[in-house]
Parts: sequence; structure tokens; C-alpha cells
Amino acid sequence: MLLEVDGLTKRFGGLSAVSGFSLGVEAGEIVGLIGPNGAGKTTVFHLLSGFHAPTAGAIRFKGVSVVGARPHEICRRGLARTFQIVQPFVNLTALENVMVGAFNRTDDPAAARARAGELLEFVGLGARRDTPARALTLPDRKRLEMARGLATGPELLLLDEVMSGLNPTEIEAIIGLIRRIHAHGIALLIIEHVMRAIMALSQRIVVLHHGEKIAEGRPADVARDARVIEAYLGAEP
Amino acid sequence: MSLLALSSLDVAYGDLPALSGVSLAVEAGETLSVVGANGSGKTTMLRTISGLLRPRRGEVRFEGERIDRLPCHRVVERGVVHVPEGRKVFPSLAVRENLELGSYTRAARAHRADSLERVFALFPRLRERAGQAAGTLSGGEQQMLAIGRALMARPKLLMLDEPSLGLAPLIVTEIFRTIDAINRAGVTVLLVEQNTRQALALSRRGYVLENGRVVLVGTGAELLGNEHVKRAYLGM
Repeated sequence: MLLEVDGLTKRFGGLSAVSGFSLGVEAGEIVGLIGPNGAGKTTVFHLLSGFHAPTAGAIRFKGVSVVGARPHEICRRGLARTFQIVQPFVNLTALENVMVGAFNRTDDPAAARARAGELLEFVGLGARRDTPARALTLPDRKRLEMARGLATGPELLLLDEVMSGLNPTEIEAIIGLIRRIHAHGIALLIIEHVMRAIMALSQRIVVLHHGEKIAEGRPADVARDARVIEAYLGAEP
Repeated sequence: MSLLALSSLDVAYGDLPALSGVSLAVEAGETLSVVGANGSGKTTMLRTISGLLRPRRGEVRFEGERIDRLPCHRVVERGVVHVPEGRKVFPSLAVRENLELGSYTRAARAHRADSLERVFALFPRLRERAGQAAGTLSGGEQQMLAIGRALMARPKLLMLDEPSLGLAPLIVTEIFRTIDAINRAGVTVLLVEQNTRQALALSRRGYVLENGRVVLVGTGAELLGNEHVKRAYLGM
């Protein structure tokens, strides 16, 4: 098992954001994490990536606990994330932004530059390499965010709503990109509200509600689960 | 006479043109949606109508009078109210305080208690959370608050910028249903959305913007059936 989470709990004062959450991700797997706004999905990402310390519970990555490790240490072990609100360095070029990620694996600027260039091509931003991040459109910033995560050399990449704010055609393009990332052997844990995308991509889906797991299984089964329909999907409009 | 009319509008950020020769009319009582890719100029259009940006050329008329030289707060007084992308609620203020801030114009202030009651009837969740800091609400509740705050200003034209952004499917359906209810209660709605399918399904008419220009106009149903729209915006 690449990632093992057991009994994960996070309380902010009296509020339990995540309660007794358990999850496993196998190497090379794509797992979807869905749930209503405020269910605790992003908090789970913050815990896995070391941005928050858990109140209780275990997180093991490649068999080693990462509880208490700093975000950059976790990233170096091969667990990288993206952010829901994309966070590029706005005054750096696309290439320089991705180089920042590549320095996770190398100290050599030439090597980081070469790797960043490859990844920009891979995500479809080759023509934008010298564009300052502030001048990129939202879909391009989402691609940049993914390239930067990939540049850190992850075995598991956490994607936090990389499709939000995109139209259905732009979403199709991102689905294609995620499939190509997966084809390189990288496991993915994906938070997404775009059901068509999450259903098509995930081998398994985990549903979080009020900080607790209420369902887990194959996409088709989860989509039929009465609790999931009531808490999250709603009846078809 | 249309309620809102944009004619030959040019808007630019420095040297970068954002809208070129955009003409558009919103008729009283309708729900009209504007769809298009990211960067096509949709948000710029709403910001220009609100007076946050000045057009280089062309004009904006509301109820027949020019509003493109007015400061924002005068535009709001005329009855044009903007719910910005990303909600922009005041996180440290209580829900009730956020709502009250929506009714700062003289005309709206006179109806504050009334309006508050109507907003609470529309969004019972906001009544339950009236004393809670807005920053502690979920994304869906914050969107309800942003819409509620706009209604407190008693709009004739309600402009919504991507109200479904980042929201769970159940909440998206609820938000669209509420927009429809607001429109049925007599408020004209101008809706900007990436959620092309649901937006056009809700709207009587729609406009498609590409690279700052209007490239298609039609009824919601016509646009949903249009081959170009299907390919470019519906992912079909």
C-alpha cells in the first residue's frame, strides 16, 4: 500500500473537521475524494501534506509515518499536492514556477530547467514557458499548478479541484492530462465536484460528509448509494 | 426599450483589449446567460456594467439612461447589483451584518427589515446562522449569503458571476433553482457561468463570448443544440 491513513482526526477548537478517517491508496491507483462543501476534503489534503498536524490518527506513506514531518519533507518522500486556489509565483515565468518544483529533486539549475521545460510540454504549456504566471488564463494556471506538482517527482499526487472554474470542454482536456499523468505510473488522489470527470477517472471513490467517511467503492456503486445521493449528489435535476 | 443595453463596447486593460464592439440587450423580466471560455471577457463585461471599469468606446444604458460614467454606488442605486465571482463576503462579520451591508442605499435601507425577512425565507440556512461569522460558512452557504446580500439592495437587475464555482452538485442544483425563483419573483437576471449546460437550460436567451466578441446569440435551447457550442463549451 502506497498510502495508509488510519483513524485520522483533526479538531479545530470544538469543531471536528475530520473524524476517524481511514483510507488506502495503492501504487498507480486513482482514487476520488468527494463530499459536500465543508465536508473536510481539503483538511484531509492539508493533513496528508503536513500543512496541519492531526489531532489523532496515523498516516503512513510507503510504510513510513509522515505525521509530524514538514511539508517539504513529505514532498521529498514523493507525496505532492496542488491547491484549489492556484498559487503560482505571479512574477515568475511559467518555466521558473515549474523549476521551483524541480529543485525538490536536483540542486542543478540546468537540470531543473530541462525538467521544467519537459513538463511544460507535457501539460501543454510549451508555448507559454516564458510568460509570467500572472498573464496566464485560469485553465493554463491549472496546468501550471499540475506541472509544478509533477516536477517534484511524486509517486502520489493530490489534486484539489483542478477543474473548478473550467467549462466542460476545458474539463475534457484536463481529464486527458490526468490520464497521461496516470499512464506514467503516478497514483492520484483527486478532490473534484465535476461528477462526469471523477466518475470517469476514479477506480475507487471515497465520500466524506461532516468529516466522516459515509461511502467507499466503485464509482457506479457510490453514485447509487442513498446516503451519497442525499448528502451530495441530489436527485437528477 | 431594453432594461439594460450595451452598445459597441470596447474595454481594455492597458494595451490588452478585453471586450471589442460588444453589444448586448437584457429585456426586463428575463434570465439571460453569457457563456464562453475563461478569458473571453465575461467578468470584464459585468465589471464594466457595475462601473468598476470604464469603457474606451461605446455605452451602457440602464432603463434608457447612460450609466457608464457613474461611480459604482450610483449604479447600485439605480438597481443594478453584482454578485462577484468567488462570493467576496466579509469573513469576520456576522451573516446578518453582511446582509445589512447590502442595504446601504437610502431606498434599500427603508425596506431593510422587509428585505431581510425575504432573504431568510429564500435561504432558511442563513437565518439559522445569522449570528455566525461569514468566514465559517461552507462554500455553498457563502454563495447563498452573497446572493442574499445582493437582494438586500433590492435589485431590478441581478448580475451573477459564476455562482456555481467550486460547489457540490446538490448545492449547484439548489443555487440554480433559487436563481430561477428570484427571477420568477420579478428580478431580471444576467448570469455568467462556466456551467454552460445548466445556465443555458435556465435562461430564456444566451450570448456566447469569444476573445471579447459576441459570436452567437440565441434562445437557451438553440444554443444548447448549436454544434459549435456543443464542441467548444459542452465537451461533446
